[in-house]
Amino acid sequence: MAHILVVDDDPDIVELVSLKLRAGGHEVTVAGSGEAARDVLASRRDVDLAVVDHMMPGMTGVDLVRALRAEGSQLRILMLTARSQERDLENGFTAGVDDYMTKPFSPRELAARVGAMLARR
Amino acid sequence: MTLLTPHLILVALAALWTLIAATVLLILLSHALRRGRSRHREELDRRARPLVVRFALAEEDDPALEGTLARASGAFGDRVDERLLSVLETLRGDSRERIVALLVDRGHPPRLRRRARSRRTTVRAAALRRLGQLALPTDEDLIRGATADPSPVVAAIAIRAAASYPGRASVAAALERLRGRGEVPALVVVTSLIAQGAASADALAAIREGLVDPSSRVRAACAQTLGELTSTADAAALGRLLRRDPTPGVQLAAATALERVGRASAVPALLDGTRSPWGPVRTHSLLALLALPREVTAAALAEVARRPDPLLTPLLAAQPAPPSPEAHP
Ligand SMILES: [Mg+2]
Repeated sequence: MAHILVVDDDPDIVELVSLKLRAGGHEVTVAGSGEAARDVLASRRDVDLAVVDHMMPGMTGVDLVRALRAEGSQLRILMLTARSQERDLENGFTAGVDDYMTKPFSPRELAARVGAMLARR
Repeated sequence: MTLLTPHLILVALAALWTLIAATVLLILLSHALRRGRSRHREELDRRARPLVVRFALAEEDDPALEGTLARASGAFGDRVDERLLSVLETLRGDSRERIVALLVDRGHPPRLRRRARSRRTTVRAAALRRLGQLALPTDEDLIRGATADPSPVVAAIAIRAAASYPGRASVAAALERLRGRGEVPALVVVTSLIAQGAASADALAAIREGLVDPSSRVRAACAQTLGELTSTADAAALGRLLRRDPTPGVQLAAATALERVGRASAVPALLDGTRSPWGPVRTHSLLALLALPREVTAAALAEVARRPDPLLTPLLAAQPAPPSPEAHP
């Protein structure tokens, strides 16, 4: 099973996503901001995939992805975004997001997407 | 007339200092109280959150957990409701249904309905937002009625909430608010229309009919919505609007929508748009032309290039040159 980093400023979503992924047998680390996520990734090299919220105060999800890609990170990234921000996703994809899901989402679909991304080695 | 004796001055100063000290103490006390309350709330949230999330994600019935959540009362019960509503916003599918059922079980909707009739606008607005999230069939009329609320803030929330009941009636209620003095931002209405048009064919039909509404704000909002919905079937209607509408704001909305949904059939209208006396209409007409494949726009773009225009000429010059036919074998 994989090690997944969940990055979101909303504690409810962090709890929801991490519980779902843990139920699927994954190890989950959480970060409440883009900055915190960078700290985690700097110290833990074994993260396989990150689920990243788009809208966060300070460093946004897109900022985070851009910074990671600029450093040459190959981490697989699934972005969570609100439907109203779907148009900004072009930014996300040019920044290097691998896949995205719009909120509201189905937890089952989230787990399936994560599984599919992990299978794509 | 020697009322200001040194003794009196001293007494007055002492009183003043006492007053200042008491005020400072009061402020500190209220801060501590507020911090304590918010810490208490966070503590309750920390307890409620895992229960609510476990409930939302449960694959099978868990009567013990359900009972705990259904019976939660007092301050903890309030936090359970808050967490349920917050999670509700994030989820769809059966998790969502389960949370709605629990909130109904907990008697939340009647409380919200009472608050939706409060005299305080903030209370009304918050309750309507929540009722829109729950989207219970029984609240459809209440929410739609609130789109006519005297407070534009409450009306805006109700217009967004009405998107939970997509269809002709909700589209009409949202558009009606644009016919007034314009206190509700058009963007609020457009956001509601986008959600409705994406969810319901009836709503989409009503939005299309709005393109010929007597109100220019309604026509512009409907044009913008169709562009956002990337409804390419409406390219011809949007082209007509760009060509014939007397209001520059509507022409601009049509041209901007065509940037997303343009088709070959819209090229003549867009070319007309590049001749508009209104700068933004010219600019967006050209941008819409540029968004289309060059095979269908080559002649139109060549025509624009022949006309010197302080707005369009630099925009055209900034475009990468189309591949020359000789380059292809
Ligand atoms: Mg967020």
